[in-house]
Amino acid sequence: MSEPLSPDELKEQLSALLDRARPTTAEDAMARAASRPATPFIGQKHLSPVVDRRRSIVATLAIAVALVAAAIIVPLSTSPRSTVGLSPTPASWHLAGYLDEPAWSAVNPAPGSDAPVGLSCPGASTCYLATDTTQVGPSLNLSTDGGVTWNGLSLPPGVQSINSLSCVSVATCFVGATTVTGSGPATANLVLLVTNDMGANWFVALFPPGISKLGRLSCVDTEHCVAAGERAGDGATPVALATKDGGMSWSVTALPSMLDLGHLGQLDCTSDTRCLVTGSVPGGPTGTRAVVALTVDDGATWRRAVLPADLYSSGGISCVNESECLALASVPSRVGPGFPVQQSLGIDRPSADISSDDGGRSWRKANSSGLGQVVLYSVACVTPMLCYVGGVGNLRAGAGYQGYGILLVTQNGSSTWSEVSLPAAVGTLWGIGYLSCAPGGTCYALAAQVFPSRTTSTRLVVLSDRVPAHA
Amino acid sequence: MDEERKVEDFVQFVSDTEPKLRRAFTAAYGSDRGSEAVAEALAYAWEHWDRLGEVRNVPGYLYRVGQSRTRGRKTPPAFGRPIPEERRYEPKLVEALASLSERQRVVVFLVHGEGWTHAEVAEFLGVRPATVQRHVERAMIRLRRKLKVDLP
Repeated sequence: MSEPLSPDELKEQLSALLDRARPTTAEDAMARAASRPATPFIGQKHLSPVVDRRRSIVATLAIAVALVAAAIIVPLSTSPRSTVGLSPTPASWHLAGYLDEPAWSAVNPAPGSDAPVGLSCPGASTCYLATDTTQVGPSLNLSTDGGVTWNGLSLPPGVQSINSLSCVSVATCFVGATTVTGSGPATANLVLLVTNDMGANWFVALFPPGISKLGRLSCVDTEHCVAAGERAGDGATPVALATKDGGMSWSVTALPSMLDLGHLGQLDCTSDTRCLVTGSVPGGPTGTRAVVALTVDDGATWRRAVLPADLYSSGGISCVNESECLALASVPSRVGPGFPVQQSLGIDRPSADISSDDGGRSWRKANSSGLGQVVLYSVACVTPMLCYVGGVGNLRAGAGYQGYGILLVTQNGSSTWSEVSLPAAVGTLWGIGYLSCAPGGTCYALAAQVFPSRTTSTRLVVLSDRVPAHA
Repeated sequence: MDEERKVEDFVQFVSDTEPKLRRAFTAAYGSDRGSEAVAEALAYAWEHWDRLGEVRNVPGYLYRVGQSRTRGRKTPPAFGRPIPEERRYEPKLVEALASLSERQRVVVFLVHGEGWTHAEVAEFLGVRPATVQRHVERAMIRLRRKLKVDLP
């Protein structure tokens, strides 16, 4: 053991570290405020729940993380949009641009569907969009003008498919992919594609041998990524693959039992040690139970969080910092069998211990209103209070997929939700499957536009809450 | 309030509040991202200067603003250049601090580095003093384990 540190020595060393940050002057602050678009004022009770927590024992226990559980599908409703029960909000979203490509069957994150793979917007005007369709194959597109125009990036030779995307800066992105170096499946390799120059050059890192499938991917910086996967063997064992060196080496640990890729919802890492995964496992009266699992040790161990009993699946999740997240989940509907109906939305807030290291992890539903009848695929939070969710509203059973895209916003930490008015130019949307908010608060949504025949080609629509350059 | 008076008030406000925010954000995020968070919080304060009177705990409120507006910049805390070699220091202190949770790190810095009371930290972060005490205790246990030294 080294020589002990006295209180004064510890104070001196800590103070020395704190003194390294450069001061901000009033002039700096005024100049910064003048150089950017106006932001809305957020009342203290929304931004800082300090007072509320002190007044409420229950709320006092709910400091750390927020989880939203979502969605309703009520069948046989032929109501127009206005009957969904949602009030348009003054939130200003704009049509940014389009991507034309055939063969998208839906815009949702459902694994295995002919849907976009991911949307990641690391900069206010920089977005990456990954797609992989049966007709076109893998494609990675980049927009540097806020989604107005898109350019296809060249991927390394041999890339057969891509299934995940995570960008940590405007220049650095990671893509989970399969490459084929010869012919036949025996030569397929699962790889992590890394670019540090906006796709101009790629580094190809191999995932460890024995991994048979890849799922979601979440990276926090240029070195640290966690991916979900399956290990071949006696059945498909769900595993987490973690790297601390940009893919040069990997550690493989078990995810909660039965949380295979087919039931994996989302993976989101909020620091180099802390990740959350959502999904469902077999069990319960409805056949599945929702799962949220958490690691705080860089994926070495995963613990299942305690969730309300009536959730049967969980999906999208968005963390605004290490302790505050919003997630989507669903409960069974009371209406008929044969249709994957869901019901109700709530906010789940884990206990205060979520931010501690004693292992206590629990979530509870909150009382949300204004959601109406929707199925939600994606969530993105700008602040703990300001979040967007995207999905499909007004679904009908029996006649196929008959919904329309819907975007909802909460400005009070998901106590109330309201529908965002979308520009008329976008027409009717199938659904909003991806949302991504850049640091600083600019958000993007990805939807598919409805064409007369849903069996023919469609196009992707990019929406943004910033005024596009062409406007 | 005329513009000149408003600017004067804001300058005074920044003079009073900026050091507190800077220390808290530096503790949470390191020097670079910490500075960015301070700048974001104070820019927001200037933008909404006329409404900050509605806020009860302005520094704590702006701390939350800075957290929110730098969210997504998920980089490990970095504390800038090394401590000068001539000063006796614990070589693994920075690494050990980075291993703490954000909340633990902030309370350790503010309590043991800046001499804030638990009540002051609690007011700033919007938690109870008992929560601050718990975070400090757990953080110090962790630091002792990491550093293998006796700490206060």
